[in-house]
Amino acid sequence: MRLEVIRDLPKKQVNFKNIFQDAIIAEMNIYNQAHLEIDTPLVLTRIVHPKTQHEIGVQFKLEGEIKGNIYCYLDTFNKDVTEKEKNFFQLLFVESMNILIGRILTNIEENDDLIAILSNPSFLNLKEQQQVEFNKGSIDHEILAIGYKLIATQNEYDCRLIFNLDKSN
Amino acid sequence: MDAQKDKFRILIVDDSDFSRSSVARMFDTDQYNIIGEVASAKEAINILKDRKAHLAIIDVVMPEVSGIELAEYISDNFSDTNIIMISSLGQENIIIDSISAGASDYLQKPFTKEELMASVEKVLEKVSSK
Repeated sequence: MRLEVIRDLPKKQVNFKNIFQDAIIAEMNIYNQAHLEIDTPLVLTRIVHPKTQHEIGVQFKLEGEIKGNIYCYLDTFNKDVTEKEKNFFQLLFVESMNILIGRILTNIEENDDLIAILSNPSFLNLKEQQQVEFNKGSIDHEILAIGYKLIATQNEYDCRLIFNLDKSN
Repeated sequence: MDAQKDKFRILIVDDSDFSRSSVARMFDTDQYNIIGEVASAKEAINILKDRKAHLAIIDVVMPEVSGIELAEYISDNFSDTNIIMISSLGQENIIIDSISAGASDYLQKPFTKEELMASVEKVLEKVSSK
């Protein structure tokens, strides 16, 4: 009888912080209607709290060679905008995040040859936003956060992107 | 087609309202006629069954039927309709899949009006020369 020894080879650890840092877009013009620029740098984090009760949340899923979720938040606290303007900013925000993330993923493919597939965005209601769990302390996940300013029609909004990335694949 | 006598008919397919309207706004000359701005493949096919389009501008990532699947369908069933794919993603495999599905060009979002017009004019040259 022949015995085969099967052992788990140590997985190569992916350093998402470096991969995303190199791929980050500093600023971007969105169809001459808005401007996105970095406000706070990319950081590795472990705990993510809701900022205010006035955040609009959108989730994108990542599949492929990078798996996880991306949560994007637009803070509308203390903004004197009409319902029509708010609706416009929601649409603008979702498409801006879609474009920003798409560009970042394209850079990651060019730099590191990793292909990630981006899902359609889905809105998070406030309850869902509060329920989002970020696997605190899990060795299988890495959480990265970055802040942007979304500037349009002379208004300036704070945006946050939270990358909750699965390190186990 | 004689470009002097008829306008180029264009269909825009993108599930993002903002992107759709931004693209439509770039066609601000009399040369173009936007025959539809729709959010899904199903709506796009319904329009194409009724009205001929010279060009369909299609977003890659859409719910239910993807832009690439729609491009394949249009290539097979509405062969006179040229296709330009648009997406925030610029990954090589997606561009190759888009071209294989029948797209004549691929633009990564956000693009400028000049970039879009250069692509449209290049694609529609084929229509004018027919």
